[in-house]
Amino acid sequence: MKSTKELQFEALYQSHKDKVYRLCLGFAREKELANDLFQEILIKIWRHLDSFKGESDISTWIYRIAYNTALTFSAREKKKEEKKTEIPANLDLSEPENYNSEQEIRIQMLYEAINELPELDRVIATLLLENTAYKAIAEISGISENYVSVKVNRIKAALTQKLNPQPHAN
Amino acid sequence: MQTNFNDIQQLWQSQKTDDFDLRGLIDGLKKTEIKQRREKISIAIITPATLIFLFIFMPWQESKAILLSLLVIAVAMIWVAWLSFSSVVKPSDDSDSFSNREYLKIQLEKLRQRYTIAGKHMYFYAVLLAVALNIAYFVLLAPLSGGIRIAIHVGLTLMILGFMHFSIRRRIRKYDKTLKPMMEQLEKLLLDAKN
Repeated sequence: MKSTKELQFEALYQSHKDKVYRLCLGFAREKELANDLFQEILIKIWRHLDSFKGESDISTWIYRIAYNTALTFSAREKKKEEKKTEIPANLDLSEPENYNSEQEIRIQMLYEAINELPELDRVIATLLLENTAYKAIAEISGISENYVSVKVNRIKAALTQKLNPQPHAN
Repeated sequence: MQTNFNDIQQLWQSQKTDDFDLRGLIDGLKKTEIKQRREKISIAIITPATLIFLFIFMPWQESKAILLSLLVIAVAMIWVAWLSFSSVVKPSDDSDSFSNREYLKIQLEKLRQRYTIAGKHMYFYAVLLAVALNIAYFVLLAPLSGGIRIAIHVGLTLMILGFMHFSIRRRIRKYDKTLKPMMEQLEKLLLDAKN
């Protein structure tokens, strides 16, 4: 019989798995590494689930764990390979329905653009792409809401420009 | 066709996770938890058991020097056990109450603490052990001639300090390759977070 913790963990997994997985893809260069990071985050959530005090929203709590783990993971991976972080051309991203090659190329461009950002901007970018409120972004990233909005403008511009390679594209 | 930020958001959110063996992960985690619990219980038993063993079989009632030696060993063992325990148990992953910046600070502090334990505290531990064993040997080797006793004391001291020195150097070299780049990266992230 499943324990309450297992049931709670499974429910959290179902409600947050895609967002957390996308974050992993934003931080890892290869799918295998993204899976490792995903698993590491799940392990941390499991281990600390009993200590969740309910002081913040459960989603914010999960994202904090996810982003903190991703940052540490990223630091660890950088030490392994001092090479420039880039998405390999053959990256096998998970495939939603009606997937086509044009979309694949655009997704690859998006991940390249995200990977080119500094780590903290990557955190903000991935949260922003999940429609997270500025207040929550500030809470998770530990910077002020005003500074988040400054960074958001730069990030939006950088990502949009990358996906619209023409000069002066919006 | 222009891609605006809403399109980018939709593109991003179209990514879904692969099938993941959650059941397997939970089962694995439960097994690990049981194993870790057993290990903690073992450590909690082994340290006092070693000390009890030493106090039972060493003739500490006959000599204050041996008693002092045992006490020094006991203090050193408990101190090292406490150091290891405190460096591991820190709530560094309590992401419920720590912001990103605080988390980075604590991670850095934890890594620095590992360096301090290896680079400073372990030398002090080696000295304590050498002192404790020399005190005990001073009493136990009393029937032997002066020259042999001095040779054994010197040999024992050099052996303990040498062994510890090489173990510590090896560990620090390992840390230089693994922890140091990570610390530099975390420091950079922390600086970014402050700016």
